[in-house]
Amino acid sequence: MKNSCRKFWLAGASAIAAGLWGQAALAATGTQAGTSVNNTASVSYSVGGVSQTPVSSNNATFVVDRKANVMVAEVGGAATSVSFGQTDRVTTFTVTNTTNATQDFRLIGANIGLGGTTALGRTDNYGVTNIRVFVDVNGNGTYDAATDTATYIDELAPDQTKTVFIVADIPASGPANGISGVQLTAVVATGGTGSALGADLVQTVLGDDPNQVDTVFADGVGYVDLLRDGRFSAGDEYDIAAATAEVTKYATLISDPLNGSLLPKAIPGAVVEYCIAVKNIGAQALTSVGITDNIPANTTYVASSTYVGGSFSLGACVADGAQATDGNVFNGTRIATSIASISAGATATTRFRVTLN
Amino acid sequence: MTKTLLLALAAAGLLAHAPARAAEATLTSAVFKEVETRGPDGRATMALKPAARVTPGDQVVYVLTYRNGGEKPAEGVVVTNPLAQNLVYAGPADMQPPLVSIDGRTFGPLASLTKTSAGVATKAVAADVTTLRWTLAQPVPAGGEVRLSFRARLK
Repeated sequence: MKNSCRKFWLAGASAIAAGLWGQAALAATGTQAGTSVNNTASVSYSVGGVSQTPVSSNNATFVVDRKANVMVAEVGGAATSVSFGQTDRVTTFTVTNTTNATQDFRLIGANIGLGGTTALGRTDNYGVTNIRVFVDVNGNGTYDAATDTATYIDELAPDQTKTVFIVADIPASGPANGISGVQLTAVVATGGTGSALGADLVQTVLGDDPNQVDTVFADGVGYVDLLRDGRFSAGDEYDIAAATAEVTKYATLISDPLNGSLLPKAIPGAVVEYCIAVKNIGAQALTSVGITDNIPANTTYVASSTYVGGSFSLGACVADGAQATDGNVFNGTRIATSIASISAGATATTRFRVTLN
Repeated sequence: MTKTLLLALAAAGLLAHAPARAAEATLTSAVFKEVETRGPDGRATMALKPAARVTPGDQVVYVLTYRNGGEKPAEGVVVTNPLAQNLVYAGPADMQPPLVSIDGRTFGPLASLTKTSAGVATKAVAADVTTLRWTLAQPVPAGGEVRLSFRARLK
């Protein structure tokens, strides 16, 4: 193939030349391992003024060796926010084959250990459990428990990238502001056999053979691996979400005995509505959110005025929510309500009214 | 021809290479890998080793040996070396730089060549070189030998 190309070059066929210029750019990893690179020269000469038949040289050839290399990177640059007792929480990585050949990759996920420094520069103070590693088989960047079941990367072509998830459970309890560092290591393994993880590559030490594919490790230093050890690693974090709710109380004059609801003033007998807005500023849904508020001194609770689970819009409480039964929420001195669930980023309100004595 | 190169050639047994047809001209092609070694004084020297372990980005050195095995001088000796597609020309390896070509027809120093892409002419670069050519100014005497060499980088 190569030789025939050369002959075309020598023939000076410009159309062929144009075609070769238009060839797709070579992969960043360079010439594929196993490629034979050939070189044949020719010489023309004259003797006594008479041109002689040109002579071709032998073919000087060598086989391109395998430059084994791999990159692992954490995706997002931020910790995964979790709560105690959660299961199947995910951190995301990418693994890129920077070898000049198709390879398998063995994947190892682990805790970095208590006291270790996480990839994000914090100190590990608890450990996630049941660590598993899965490949994003369908390539959607999201862990799908039913689909993403492969535990190693099979036959990854040069310069191709796969997303890989560490999936772990969070213990039932642990330190407040818990930080658990994890690490993912990808080991370059032998490719060539589909649907099976090949053996880890071994660097060729002896037996340099110009006609065989030797293996040279060219990987860099990752999070927990060494220079040129045929593997690369990166780290991520599972952080226990800290304070995740923001509570704001609003007071609104509804009416007074003289002006009614038109520009009411805070005079005795005026009705004031209190609205307690709970905003979930964490990453997880809040459940069974209890709200307790004492009826202020010198005021009297307005019977059946408590509404629970109302919404919040444009900086104000909306007059909605479910009306509560006084017997359930009012004990004579305070209001106590409970909201079943507030999703991440959402706000829910509790409203009640008092009259000024 | 540098001393290192000669030593390496001797080591590779190339100098002892006898032409098969004594009455004819022969041309041999050999490939080496340039390896940097540091002596006890810390000075780096480049040595030519057999091209046994070559990975993308490595540089190799090709050595062409023309031998006039005839009984009369050979005149107008022109050695042409098309470059494999996976190689990028990386300059001469001795004092005899070749003329280069990006199309196999027009030869000259690299700086004199231009390529035209979509109607725009730009200076040719080393990666564009497809063919090397040496035109010997002097005849090669009977039994004489001329060695030419160049460097190339594996894509």
